[in-house]
Amino acid sequence: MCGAALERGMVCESWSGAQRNFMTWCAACSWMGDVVRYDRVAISEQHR
Amino acid sequence: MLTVEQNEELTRVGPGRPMGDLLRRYWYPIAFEQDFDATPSKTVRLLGEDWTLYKTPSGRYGIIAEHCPHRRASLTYGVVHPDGIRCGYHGWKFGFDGQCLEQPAETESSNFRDRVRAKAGRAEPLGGMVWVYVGPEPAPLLPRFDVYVLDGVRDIGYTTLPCNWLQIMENAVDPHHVEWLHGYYFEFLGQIGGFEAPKSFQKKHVKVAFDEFEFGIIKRRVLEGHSDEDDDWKIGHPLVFPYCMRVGGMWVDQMQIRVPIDDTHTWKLFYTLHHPEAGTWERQDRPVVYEFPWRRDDGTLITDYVEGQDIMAWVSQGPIVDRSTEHLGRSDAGVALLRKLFKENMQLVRDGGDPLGTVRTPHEIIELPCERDKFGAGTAFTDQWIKGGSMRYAPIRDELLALHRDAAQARARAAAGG
Repeated sequence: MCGAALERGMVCESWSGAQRNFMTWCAACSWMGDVVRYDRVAISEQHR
Repeated sequence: MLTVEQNEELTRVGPGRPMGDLLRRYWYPIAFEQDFDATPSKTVRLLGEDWTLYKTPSGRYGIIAEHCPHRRASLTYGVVHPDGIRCGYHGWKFGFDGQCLEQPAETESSNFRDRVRAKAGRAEPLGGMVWVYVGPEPAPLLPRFDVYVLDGVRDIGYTTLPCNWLQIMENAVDPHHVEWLHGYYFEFLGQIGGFEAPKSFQKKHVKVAFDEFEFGIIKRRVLEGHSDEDDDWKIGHPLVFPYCMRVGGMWVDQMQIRVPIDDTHTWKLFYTLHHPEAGTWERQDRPVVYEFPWRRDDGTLITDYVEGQDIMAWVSQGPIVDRSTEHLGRSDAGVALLRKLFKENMQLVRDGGDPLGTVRTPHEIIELPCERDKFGAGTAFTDQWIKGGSMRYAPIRDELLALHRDAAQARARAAAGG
């Protein structure tokens, strides 16, 4: 991701259960993927 | 969901609009060759503009903005010449490129005509239809997709729908609707209507994927009871950017064409080629063309056939879907991908490049990937498609059914060594 503004790109919102996703395309660097909104910034400790 | 501004950007197809500029980089079928048997000119509407499409005595086609630059009378009611068209009102004559060639009421020495040029495009026949390009020069080549050039029997069902073309295209990257609209809903209609709905659409989706390719998006699916080795996944079928979907099975190959007439109307065609292996047929001079119904006289929608169900969905979404009030889910990823493709290509055009699917290399045929064994249904699919879809209205429906059945029997005999 290049960090450029998305004003020329595309953000398309969708839901998966309670999770709010944004399919995002950057016109500057052509990156395309899902950006997922945090309800809470958390770190899972399950791997320990 | 999109903002109102984003929705406007994606759906407005008129001149000077970003989507209008992108869509003008492609060729569109706009009439049938038989339309010119009785008259040399007709008015057509494309991308929000009205045009006069005409055919000269030598068989060359031309397209020019309908309203004469003089005093705006319709050129459709003009005189067609070997080198252009002359307005019926005052005789102003225009060449194929729109350049004014004669102004009979002006003095011969005047150079007024040199300063008048009508908007014009290019027009060519292919596959029984007249195709036009109304974008900037240099024009790309008219793509010779397989269904338009291969040998076989052709039928073309058409109608005009009161909705924007984009919501029809979004249906093309929405595989899950098949098991619900054409499976579950069709079965429901069969139960209350007392008829047998086709079973082949009722299989559930296990896996769906989309791949971008040089002409658009390949859609792939794995249905319950099937695997990655089946045609629906291994081959898939394409959305042909920006206004078609190619489908097929068992040597019925179809281009579903959605021509943007204007912001709220689409010319919808099912262009079907029938060419079964081991089949025999007489050479057609032209495709059989017919208008198919989707609405009864009382205004209710006809939904007891597959395409009628799709049309119900598209038309009931409204003239232009309000995407600022939609709620997409994960299963709508294909829809989001298509919108991204449109945004990307609008930007390409703004930056001076050729958009996706532009063809500039001379060629005889462009073969598109498409399933042969559809939904694992074998030859039964052909019968169901012809009898349960818009082809049920084809004047040659019974001949088409016989063509495929006879061919299947011939293949069976050959396989049995007979």
